Amino acid sequence: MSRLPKGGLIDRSRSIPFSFDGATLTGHPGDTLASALLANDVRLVGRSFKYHRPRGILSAGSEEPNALVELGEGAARLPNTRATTQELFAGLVATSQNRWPSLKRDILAVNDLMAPFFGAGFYYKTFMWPKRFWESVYEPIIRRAAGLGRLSGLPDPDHYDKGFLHCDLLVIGAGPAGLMAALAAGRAGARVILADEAAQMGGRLLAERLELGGSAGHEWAAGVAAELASLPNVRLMPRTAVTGAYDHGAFGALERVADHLAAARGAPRQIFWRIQSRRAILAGGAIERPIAFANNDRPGIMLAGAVRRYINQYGAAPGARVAVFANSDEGARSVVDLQAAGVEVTALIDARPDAKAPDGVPHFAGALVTNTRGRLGLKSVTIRTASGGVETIAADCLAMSGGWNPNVHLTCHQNARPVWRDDIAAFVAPDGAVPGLVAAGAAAGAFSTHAALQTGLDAAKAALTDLGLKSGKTPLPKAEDAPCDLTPLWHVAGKGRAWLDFQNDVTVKDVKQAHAENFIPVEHLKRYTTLGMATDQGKLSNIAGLAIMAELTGRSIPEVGTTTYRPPYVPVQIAALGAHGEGQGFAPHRQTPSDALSRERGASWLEAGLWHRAAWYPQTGESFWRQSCEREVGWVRNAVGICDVTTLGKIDIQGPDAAAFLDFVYTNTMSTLKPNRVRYGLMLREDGTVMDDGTCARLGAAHFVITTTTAAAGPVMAHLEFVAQVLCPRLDVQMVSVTEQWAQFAIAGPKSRELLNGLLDAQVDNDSFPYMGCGPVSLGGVAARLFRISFSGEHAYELAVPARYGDSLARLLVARADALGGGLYGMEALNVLRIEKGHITHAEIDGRYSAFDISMPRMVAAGKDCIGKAMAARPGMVEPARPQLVGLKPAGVVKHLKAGAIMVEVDGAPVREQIKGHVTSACFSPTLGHPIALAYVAGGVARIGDTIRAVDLLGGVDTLCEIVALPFYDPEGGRLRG
Amino acid sequence: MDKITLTARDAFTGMGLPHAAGTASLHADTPPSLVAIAPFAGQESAVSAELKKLGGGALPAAGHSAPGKAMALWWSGHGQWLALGAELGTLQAALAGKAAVVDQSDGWGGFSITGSVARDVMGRLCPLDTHPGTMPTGHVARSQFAHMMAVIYVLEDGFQVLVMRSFLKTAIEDTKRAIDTLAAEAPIRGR
Repeated sequence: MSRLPKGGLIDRSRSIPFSFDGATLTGHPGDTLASALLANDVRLVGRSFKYHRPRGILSAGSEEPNALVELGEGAARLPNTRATTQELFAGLVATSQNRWPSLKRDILAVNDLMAPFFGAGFYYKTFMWPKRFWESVYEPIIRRAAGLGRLSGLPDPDHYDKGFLHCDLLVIGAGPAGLMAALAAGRAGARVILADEAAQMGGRLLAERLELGGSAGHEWAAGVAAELASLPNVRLMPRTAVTGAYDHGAFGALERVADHLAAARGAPRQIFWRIQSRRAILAGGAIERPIAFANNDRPGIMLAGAVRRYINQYGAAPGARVAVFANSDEGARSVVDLQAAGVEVTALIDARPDAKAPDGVPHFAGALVTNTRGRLGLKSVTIRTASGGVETIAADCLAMSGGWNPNVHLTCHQNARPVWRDDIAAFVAPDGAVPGLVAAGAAAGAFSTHAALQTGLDAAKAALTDLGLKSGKTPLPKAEDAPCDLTPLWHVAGKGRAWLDFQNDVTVKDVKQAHAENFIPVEHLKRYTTLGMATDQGKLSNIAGLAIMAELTGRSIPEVGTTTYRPPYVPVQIAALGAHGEGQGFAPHRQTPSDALSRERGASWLEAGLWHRAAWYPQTGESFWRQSCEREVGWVRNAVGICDVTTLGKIDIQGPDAAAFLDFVYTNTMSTLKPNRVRYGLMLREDGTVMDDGTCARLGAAHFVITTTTAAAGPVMAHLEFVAQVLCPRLDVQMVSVTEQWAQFAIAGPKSRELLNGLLDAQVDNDSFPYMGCGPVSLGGVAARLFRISFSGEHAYELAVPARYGDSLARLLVARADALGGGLYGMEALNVLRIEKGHITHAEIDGRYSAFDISMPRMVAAGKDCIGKAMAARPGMVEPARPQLVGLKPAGVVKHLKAGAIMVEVDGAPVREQIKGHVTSACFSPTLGHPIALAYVAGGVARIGDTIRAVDLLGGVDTLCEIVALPFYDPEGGRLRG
Repeated sequence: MDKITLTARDAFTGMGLPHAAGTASLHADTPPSLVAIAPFAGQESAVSAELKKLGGGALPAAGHSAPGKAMALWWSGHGQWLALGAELGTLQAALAGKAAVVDQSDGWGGFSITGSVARDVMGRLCPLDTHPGTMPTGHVARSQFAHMMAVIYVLEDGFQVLVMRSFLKTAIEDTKRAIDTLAAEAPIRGR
């Protein structure tokens, strides 16, 4: 066991069982999976991406590239879980990934022997021929051989959520800088959110043996966190990674609500938050840099800061005999901590020739680690001393530190580049790159504890001033203020592969290869070598990679520059980003007033403009939709049908200038419409194409109600408001959507008036309600509106009542229709009826066609202007060869007509250059007894009687058709006038 | 002609209200009547004067509401207000020629989210900052509510939300889920 006998912030009074690769182990509350594995002496935890090299735990945070496991089983299995951030819980099941048959014996480790051939660019050069083999052969094999964890392939059984938070000040990171900033702002009364990736607030104060104001660092952190928790204006968000910095103070954040629990019990596992902040402080700390030397990727080689965290926070020793390799005082600090924990330190190898030796440890100043041994776990390190001698030092753990990279990511999310600082040999956050966001503490290159506290406090005070709040008294606790004494060291020259990017198996040699082949700019370097890709996004490797490119090109590191920092800072599951977007959660579901009735009648459904509309109503003995549809069409043509048309947009338009306004938005004239009359209307976009059509009813001198198509109700409302506010601000007109206020039903068919007169409080006839008449009526004392309009081509009405009566009215209408030999009809029947009449829908007015094309040139009134009129008059918009809407009927053996088919001349070929138009709508007409279609045909109106082909390449149907005039049914309109 | 009766259907039929979990509850709360008032050019003062005569208040500024003896008035958008509890015919008569007066009583359904975590429930559904410093009691906002357009009114102990009648099923399902989710989170968050 490598659990230290004492120390750490874990709860040793309780043991919790977990399993790794089938072995049952135990840990303590407060452990991560990584610390528990180390405490159980498990050091081999994974295999590398490309070479399948044995790998151990490298870090103690979200930057971990190696220790990725599959967490959980079955549908809940989650690949690529970082053992270093996954908290331990009772019954946790983890499995290593990317190995076969086992972690210790992995067949594909043969790749490592082939390494000389698998360098950067290998795929690009090798798998070029034959070309078609790439997708079918090479890529599947490569993907199988190299990879990360496996998805379960099953729907995620867990629950996720999304939400919105708002604050005056967002503090990102709860180390000394973040805690100090949050404390100052919290005490000043600002609304503060303090977010930290870890379960416990404190950052490095939990990992180091530091004193603040005379108490242990972690105790100071706990005290501050407790005070913050007691303030009503502060929200503490542990287990929360701020993932992106967006416009206007918006940040994305992933909160892992229940990832640390065996069962979420109805709670979301994770919540993706949008945090809206007025000011923000990035106190995200810094990430320690590895050093590249030969075989620096063996299990047991770890970052020095991680070694200290495992000892000090988790009471777990990463090794029994530890060597330390550093280029700064981090080495000596690690030695002291290891010795204090009773762990043997076998050497301190310090790259600085002038480094001072600590007590009680073999010290090698000016020395470098040149190689290591131990395939499944480190056994020894080979060093080259200052005098050039070679020594071998026994060690099962090597703590390495190449310095620290401030965590600048969020400050660069809006495409800024970080700024190089020679004194700490690192990039720091640029000033003002994300408005309202400043960096403090180690994220700003302030590495001492005192500097972190001071910069955190300063940043909070500046933010409070910006927010118009007064800073209270928040004294700084006394803390160490050691200077940063570091000699840059990126890699140790020598033979053997020295890893830069552990996750993608990119070595120093690969960067040299990229340089040799002129992939020198950092973005090219990244793509060529894959440096910095995958789940860790190069948190440990990017800067070292470009430092080596700088050496190779003789430029400085800032001259080489960094790649682009992009959100998210840590991987975010799509399930969290898309919370509630699955299944019915994809879009709101709008219910019609006849929804309950339609469900009782067994309707099939389709969706339009978010409305769920009944498509057809099957009856006993009907097994195919067309049987139901054609029966319903027959009811309308021969008796009476009832259809819920509430979904069509209804807009109430009033005002002294209402008529003038409508004249401007419609192509035809509405000001001449008499009260209690309805007119068909067409609207154009400003570019002259048809936007929508509908009816316009005049209820009074200055009062109209217009209808829109279902799907365009919202866009037309927005268009009218734009016209009223921007294009015609002098017109005195007001509009209110009444789509939802009125339940509206079509009553269509030769018996429609008979049905109505059985219901209305006063009878209607051809004089009181002629075709295109409208007016108020009442039913059982309820005020209603009646419109004599028809989409079906039959003698028809639309009856509107306040929506609360919609269900009741629908039931009455259907009962009466049933008694008259008719009944409910759905969208499919409605579609057949309108195609028979040649009426358009958005299948025809799809945003490409003009009034001329839909054979309504006379709808554009001559004596007035309207939106789109000038553009619709362009020569190209009215030339005779434009596609024009016509009817089609089969003229050969093949009778099938399908929407989407392309129009081709009888002797032509169905190729792009010869397309003459397309079929917009098609159906079988039960009224006519054969298929019919609406289609655009070039110059179609002049070609009535010609034959042409409708070719459906997808369905393999080629139909000879006759071009016919519209409408197919009742061209004189006698049935409308009844 | 037969004698017929039309029956009003409760828009919340079958939606399982009221609903409560943890410290939040949800109940139907549609205003008894809802009338849109959109004054014509230059008529706002005249409309306010008429409304006061009818026992209402002056038209409130954007984001605000005005309580009154006979009706409450909510700002509801650019140049538009909602009168709650007023009689349609009376308003139409008083404001003839001064404003478009349009019945919306059946167009919107309302519900209230109340309880100590009502603000957190809103935080899962609505992007607005509902902190009392930003949205005090009586504040009115037009915003998005679980992907639907909504009118949001701040109550003493929660929020009254109006969505278009057809959206009620989704709005109630989403709100119930948010309430249940928060209740399930409470023990994890130590509340």
